[in-house]
Amino acid sequence: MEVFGNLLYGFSIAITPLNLAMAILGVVLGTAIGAMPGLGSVNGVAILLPITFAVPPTAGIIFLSAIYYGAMYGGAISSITLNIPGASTAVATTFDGYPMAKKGRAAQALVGAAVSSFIGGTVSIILFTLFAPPLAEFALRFGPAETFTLMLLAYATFAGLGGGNPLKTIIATLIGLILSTVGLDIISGRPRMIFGDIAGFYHGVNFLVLAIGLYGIGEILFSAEERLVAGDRVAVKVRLRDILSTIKEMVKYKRAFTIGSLLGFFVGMLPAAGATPASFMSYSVVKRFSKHPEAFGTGTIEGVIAPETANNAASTGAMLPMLTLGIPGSPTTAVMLGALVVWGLLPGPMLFIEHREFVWGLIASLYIANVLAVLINLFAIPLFTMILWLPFTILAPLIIVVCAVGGYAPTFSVFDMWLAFIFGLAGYVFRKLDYPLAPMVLALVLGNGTEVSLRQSLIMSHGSISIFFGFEGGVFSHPIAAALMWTSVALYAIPVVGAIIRHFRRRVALAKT
Amino acid sequence: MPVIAMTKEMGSLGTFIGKELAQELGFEFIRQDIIREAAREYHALEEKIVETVEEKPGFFEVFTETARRHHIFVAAEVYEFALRERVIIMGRWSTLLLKEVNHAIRIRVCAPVDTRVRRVMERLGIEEAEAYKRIRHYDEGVTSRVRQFFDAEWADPLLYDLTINTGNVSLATGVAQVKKLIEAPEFQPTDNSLKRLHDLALAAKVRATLKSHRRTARLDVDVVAGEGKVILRGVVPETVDREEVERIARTVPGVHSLKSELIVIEEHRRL
Repeated sequence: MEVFGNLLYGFSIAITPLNLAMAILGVVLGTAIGAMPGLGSVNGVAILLPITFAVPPTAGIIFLSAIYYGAMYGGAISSITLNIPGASTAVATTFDGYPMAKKGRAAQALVGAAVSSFIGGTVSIILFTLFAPPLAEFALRFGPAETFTLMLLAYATFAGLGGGNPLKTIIATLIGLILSTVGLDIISGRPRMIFGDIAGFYHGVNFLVLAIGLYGIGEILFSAEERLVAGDRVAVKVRLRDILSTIKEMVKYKRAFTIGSLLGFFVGMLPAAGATPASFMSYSVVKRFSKHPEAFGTGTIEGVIAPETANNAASTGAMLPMLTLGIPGSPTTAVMLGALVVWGLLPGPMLFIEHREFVWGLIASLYIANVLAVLINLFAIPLFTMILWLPFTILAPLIIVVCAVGGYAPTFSVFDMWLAFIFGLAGYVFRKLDYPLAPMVLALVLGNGTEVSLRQSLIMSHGSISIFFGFEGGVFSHPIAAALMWTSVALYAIPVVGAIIRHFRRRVALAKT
Repeated sequence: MPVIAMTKEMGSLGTFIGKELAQELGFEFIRQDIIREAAREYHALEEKIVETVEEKPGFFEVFTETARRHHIFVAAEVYEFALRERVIIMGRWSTLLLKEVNHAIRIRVCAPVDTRVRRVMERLGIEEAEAYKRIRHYDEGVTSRVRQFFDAEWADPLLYDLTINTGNVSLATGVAQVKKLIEAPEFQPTDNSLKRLHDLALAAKVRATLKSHRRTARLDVDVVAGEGKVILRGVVPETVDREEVERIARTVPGVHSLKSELIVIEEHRRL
């Protein structure tokens, strides 16, 4: 089996001291960030990204992905002990985690969350290992038309499946695309959108600057304003006995683990849906198929297993399209994709051929770091709960400083640092107006690729858009592009059809009264 | 007077003991009424409810709400009948549902399989193999339903105050045993045990009412009652669901005040 050979090779890379150290550091920092209310994986990855400039890309991606699922573990800690979700991915964990803590079962809830995270993560990594190589091989056959329609599909998932206001989603996507056109024209090389002659715009809007602005500075502004209402703090002491008894109790809930892991993985793969929607969906589905659905919300461990399994599974699932197709599966992987570009790597199927050490080192490290994460979490939970006492007045300025450095580091440009602050303000306004940030971030990170593939396709078809529906020169030759295109069209149609149905239902309801 | 809750294996003569008791004591013997009333009150089909009580769950049941709803309807009726004075409730999970009610005497009537097969053969005039098959089918059905809804083993002796094995014990002796328990001081109703029964009945009624309304049937809400005060707990998808649950819960007779601790998923979602 080729997979095993590759995996062994990956392990030989992942256990080098530097890579192992980065994995441990990532897990610890990720858990801490996840535990801090208001900051989640995407903020952590965006804020700490500059650190990766000091190490090789493989160590860098190992660090970032360790932060990613470390945050999935950590989010549960404040959800359970404070009733404040540590990250949006752990909101669903508050539903049963906090009631459990109030019943005096905080230790069981925390252990349950950590073990569920481990199982969700591990199942997802196994699926990842099996799915990634064939998917990458399939994607190698993609030409410009396929690439463009795939990216269109990524944008369309937000409108069709993202929930929220579809119009706002489309506007956010377009803002991201517009930002991506700033700088030199990718085909003719002429400068455009440089607002007269602002030097800082010549190299375009760096994706990381936007990410740090929106997810670092913007988030801090937003959290500073938001007054989080904590429940009574619950004291926690996790003993070995609690760990063992909880694991024994959890064996009963195989169904919850299965649903959470599979649902998390596949939902995580969708660009519009990261770990947060996956955790909610898993909670609802597990509840639906539970023996005791009425116990959900009153403090059942099943209600902790469901979201915690799914959010970890989703975080790994989201990395699959990022590595194989170059399409991020979640906001966090979008930032990671931006990092790849800064490191000089081209995300997509070629990674599997040209940078085997990078891909397989990452995959192997996911296995290792997941084990590390569950051990760290089980035995250091009291330490992480102490982080929650860190006052926001100290944390916030610290993060702002790190963000300023992060804005400067990718391009060594002070202009970009100020740009990050401007994006921070913009991000705050967006959040206040309830505009989704993720489509904008995705559009900026994919913008160049979208434009290049669009223009190449149109050159191939002599300006006819029929190429995206499968026809080149009147001959049906791009079935994949056609399938992707029609799926995108269908996704964009979902909100419209939904609105029409609602309209008629309302009229029928009115007519009845 | 205590409430008598009985369960019996097929062919164990439990029904005879129950009926004999009812006659001697002047109690009401309740068996079919529970399901009939549940079907009438909560708009369900009688034969389907019987299926939920006695048949093993089918594979596709996971995908439907029906069995769970029926279970809730039956529970509500069991408590409703238990509130009457002088009743013997046969089956319908009464022994499990009334576990927390101190003045409920819970009795299991059983017999060795061979004896039961013989009795069923005689009563129904069928072959031995057929009788055995029916007994096994019934036992499996009830056992799996008890596991499904109560996480309990039907034959667990700790669930009962008295087990009568009619393989050895005669009907008359069995009846005499129960009569002794009825007089026992530990099974006399107290203010507390009556209150507990009222609370359980009210909570069950709210639960059943919610399950019988079209708008709230698919929601699963935990209902706890204490002296007319009802607490709703659980998770519902949308704000309108919570409003609907609260509105319907208030319409249930006996609900004087309502406290809602429902969590609304929609209100916690943010992009």
